[in-house]
Amino acid sequence: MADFKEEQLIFYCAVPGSGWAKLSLLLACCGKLNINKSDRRPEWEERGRLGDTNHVFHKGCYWDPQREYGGGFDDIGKNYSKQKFIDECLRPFKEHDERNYLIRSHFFAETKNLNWLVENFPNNKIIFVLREAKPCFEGWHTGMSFTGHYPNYKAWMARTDIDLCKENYDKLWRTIKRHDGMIRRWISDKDCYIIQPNKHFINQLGYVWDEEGTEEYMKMMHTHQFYATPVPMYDAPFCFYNCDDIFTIKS
Amino acid sequence: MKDNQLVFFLGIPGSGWAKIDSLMRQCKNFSFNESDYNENTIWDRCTNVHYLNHKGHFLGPGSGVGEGFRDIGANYTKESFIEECMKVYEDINDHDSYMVKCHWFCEKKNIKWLETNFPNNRYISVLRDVELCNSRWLTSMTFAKDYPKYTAWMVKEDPDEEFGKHCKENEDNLKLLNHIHDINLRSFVRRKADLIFCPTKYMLDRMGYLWDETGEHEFTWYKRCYMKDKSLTTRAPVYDTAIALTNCHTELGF
Repeated sequence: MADFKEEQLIFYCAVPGSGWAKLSLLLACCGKLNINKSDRRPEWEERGRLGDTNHVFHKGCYWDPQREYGGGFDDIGKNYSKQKFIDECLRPFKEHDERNYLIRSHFFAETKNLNWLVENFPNNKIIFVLREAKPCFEGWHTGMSFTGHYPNYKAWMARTDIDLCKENYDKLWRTIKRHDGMIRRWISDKDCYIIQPNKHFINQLGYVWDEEGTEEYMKMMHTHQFYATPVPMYDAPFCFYNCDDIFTIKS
Repeated sequence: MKDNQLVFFLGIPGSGWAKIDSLMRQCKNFSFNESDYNENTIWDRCTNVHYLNHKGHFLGPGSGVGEGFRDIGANYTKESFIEECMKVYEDINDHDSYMVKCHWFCEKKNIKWLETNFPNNRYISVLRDVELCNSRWLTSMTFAKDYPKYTAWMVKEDPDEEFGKHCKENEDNLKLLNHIHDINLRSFVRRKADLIFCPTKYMLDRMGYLWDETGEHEFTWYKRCYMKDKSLTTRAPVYDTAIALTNCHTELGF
């Protein structure tokens, strides 16, 4: 921890149902991002409502309000000092070295949070996944529930006595739309690249085609709704902010 | 001139490809020749909703040049195809790049023919949801009365047509062809694209975008037409148009 550099924190943000979890597993296999995976636990592996045991969609920690980590991420500046925020980000990791930490939170999307992150971590990378709100909502509904799967979505619930009900879906939809708008508005005047995660591109990010890398890529290609088709929609691009150092693209 | 000076430009009607063409021509890393711009190839219209600005050539059946491009392999040799493409340019030299624009490149047989005959050439493809494309084109263009002509998409005469008002048969045929061409294009992009991105200002900069008066004008109108805010209150733009580059490593400027 003594050698920790704050630039090792990579902030990752998208709305529920965007496919960000699966896409983060691809990022974790990109050598240029050098992601620390020691936040992974068997109990944090989630296969989703469809229960396909061969496909783990969620691995590792997810920070957000009403979860074990990131409980105060609804308003970071109000709830944390810079050091306390760093501590909260690092808390679930078991190993600490030169690798980077991918900190995944939907609530980073709050404009006040994005501004706080840039103000306090001006040199850090922020990676978003952009996807229209409607397919996100439908995608989340297909695979997740509010409390029955990992991670929980309690912060998106309007009532806690029942899981899948209209009031909760309404709040989820409102929050998705709000956060989607906030992300899009925030990046609109920033220096960002918006790039689709096709095979060629992840190779440029140094994708490692070992057993894990091959497995994650094949799962993505075979199961994900925007790839498992002969005519991919390409409707969920990454948006890279402050990531110029990884864009040394070679032919 | 050399074969590899041809840059093939693919997209379906309504995808914003004409606007993307204008953006790409501002990217100096490509060194695009603009001698196909003249008083006969510049056209614009401002509807209440959209601003259209078509500049330069559009090849393909109905446009006067590239009449046989519905099936390139059946109608041309490689040499006669190059000759046909270059007809629209006045200044031909051995160093510029020449954009070659044709919706009909999106025919499966044409993509295959291009890949076979020009495997190392640069390709620029424009991707946009096909429903959005249909809506955009049908509400802002005509088949036979504007530039370029889309008579090859017609199945019957429609002398009373206006933008936003077409006979059903022609509308249906445009939708059908867009559906087929979109599938072929996405299949090509899946196999061949090096990088698929949205034309943000930052990305254009990396390709040497020239921010002169023309550059500012083109980008402003691209944003207004294709990166529209979702509503008046959110100021949250959609990024629903993507550019896919093939064999363009040098121009990317990374």
